[in-house]
Amino acid sequence: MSRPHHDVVLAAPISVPYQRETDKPASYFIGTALREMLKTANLPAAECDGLLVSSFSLAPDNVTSLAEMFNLNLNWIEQSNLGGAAGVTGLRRAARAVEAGDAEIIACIGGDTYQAELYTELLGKFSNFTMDAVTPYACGGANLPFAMLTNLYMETYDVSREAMGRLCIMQRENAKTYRNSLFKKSLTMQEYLNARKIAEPLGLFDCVMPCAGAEGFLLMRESTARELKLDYARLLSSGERHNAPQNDDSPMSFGWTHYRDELYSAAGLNPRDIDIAQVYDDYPVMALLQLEQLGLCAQGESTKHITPEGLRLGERTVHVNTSGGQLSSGQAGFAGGFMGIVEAVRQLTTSGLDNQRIDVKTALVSGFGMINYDHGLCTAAAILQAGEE
Amino acid sequence: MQHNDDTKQRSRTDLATAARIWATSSGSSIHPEFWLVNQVVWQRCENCHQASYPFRALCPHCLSECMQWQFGTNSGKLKAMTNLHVSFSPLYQRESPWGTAYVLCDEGLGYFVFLNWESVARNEPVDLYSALDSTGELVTIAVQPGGMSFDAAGRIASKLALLANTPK
Repeated sequence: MSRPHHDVVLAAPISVPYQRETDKPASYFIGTALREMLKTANLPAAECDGLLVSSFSLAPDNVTSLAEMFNLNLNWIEQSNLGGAAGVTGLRRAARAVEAGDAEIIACIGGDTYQAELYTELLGKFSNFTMDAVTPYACGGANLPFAMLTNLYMETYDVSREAMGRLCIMQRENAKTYRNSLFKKSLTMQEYLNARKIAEPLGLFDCVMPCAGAEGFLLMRESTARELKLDYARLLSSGERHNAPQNDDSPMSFGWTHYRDELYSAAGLNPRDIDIAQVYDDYPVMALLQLEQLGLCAQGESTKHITPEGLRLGERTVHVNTSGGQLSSGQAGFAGGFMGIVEAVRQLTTSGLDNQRIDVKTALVSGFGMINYDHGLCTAAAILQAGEE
Repeated sequence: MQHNDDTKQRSRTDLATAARIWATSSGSSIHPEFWLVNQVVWQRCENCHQASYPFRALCPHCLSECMQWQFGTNSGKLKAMTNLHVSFSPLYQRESPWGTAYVLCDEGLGYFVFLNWESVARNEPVDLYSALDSTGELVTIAVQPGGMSFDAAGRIASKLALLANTPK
């Protein structure tokens, strides 16, 4: 059983506004996030003794290159390339380092640049399995397996395109109020249904828009955050599972159910206590599967609970992907796996960027990544709680 | 579709050559415009005798390095599909949409395949073929079983073999 976290908090949530196309390197976006979080915390760089970075487009540089570029002298360093799971797995590893005393203050950042040509090249060479056994099938990229998964989900649970669209429309409404969003216009059901076909049943609005940007936060002990007079959110529990067994009977299981019960029990909570869910939404079907497999609603039932405000469960509403998620704010590479954590910390510290929800005390964040061949290999989730009353 | 891994490129060339030799010696149908055989390709471990796909340097079951290319089963079941309209290769984009699917072959291994989009439904059996596309890449094709399956697979194989030469 994974131990609950103890005395670890997240502070200084930073989103570097996303850009559609840029000639700046990944280090620019990651460094900008670092600068802004140090500024927010009024912290000299010398006080930051740990750095965790996740980036799709950083090579040939790596996290140590960044330490030199940003003149950081570090006791702890880590680079995670677990795609959409890297935010939560990174949070988890950094938390253990702080708990063990290996580092005092760790900057955790996901950031990427975006140039269409580079992106396409990286996508086609995502893994050896991808190159050998996926890319040759008309070079569809990740849309290929996710379209098939969406098709399977819709057929298995008798879910219509309209039902899938409700999630995208809800997230677009969330994006409209979020200060940094690239999308400020409502999405109608007609627009969703009539959108350009990408890979059936996926249309344009089922797919994220790749872009550049960064997301990050500082991790430290609660006493350190108090000394620095920072607003913070506590990390209560976390879990991860990779390459979960799949078979013909459970083609849509990716690993969350493996640690779900422990995740809640370690936090001393249950799914009914969650006020806000930030789930990894590279495609609508993945967001829905996380809401279901992390216990907020029954398998195959999530679309029945989606309203313009969030996930309606009886008398209460769980806010979902309050900044619009990747589907409506863009996917800045591996920053996408940090986006939900950063937004959850903002919501829990009442520092939402024009999109603050009221009465938000607990947040569920989850990540998903690495379609190495036919399914995603990495899942992770964590529960956060508001710090000060 | 191009890459710089020399080792892998060699193994693919070897496979393509072996495939042609095998097809010729076994009397398999050879068409002047494409190569097609009514079997999938996989690797079988000489140590534990289990088959695997996609291609690996070591056996996923016993980590032995005794992996041999083989032609395997010719049938499977269709598990999921999509009609792909957007490709990041201009070559494929010109000819889109492409019927593609995910198939579990009789040995239980999963393959992405090209598919005749309208002909087969989920969980139905399919006939499986191996072909080479215009870049020499090995691909799998799934079609409705029956007497016409070679012709149906041949239409897809022919389109793939000629793709690089298709006029803009």
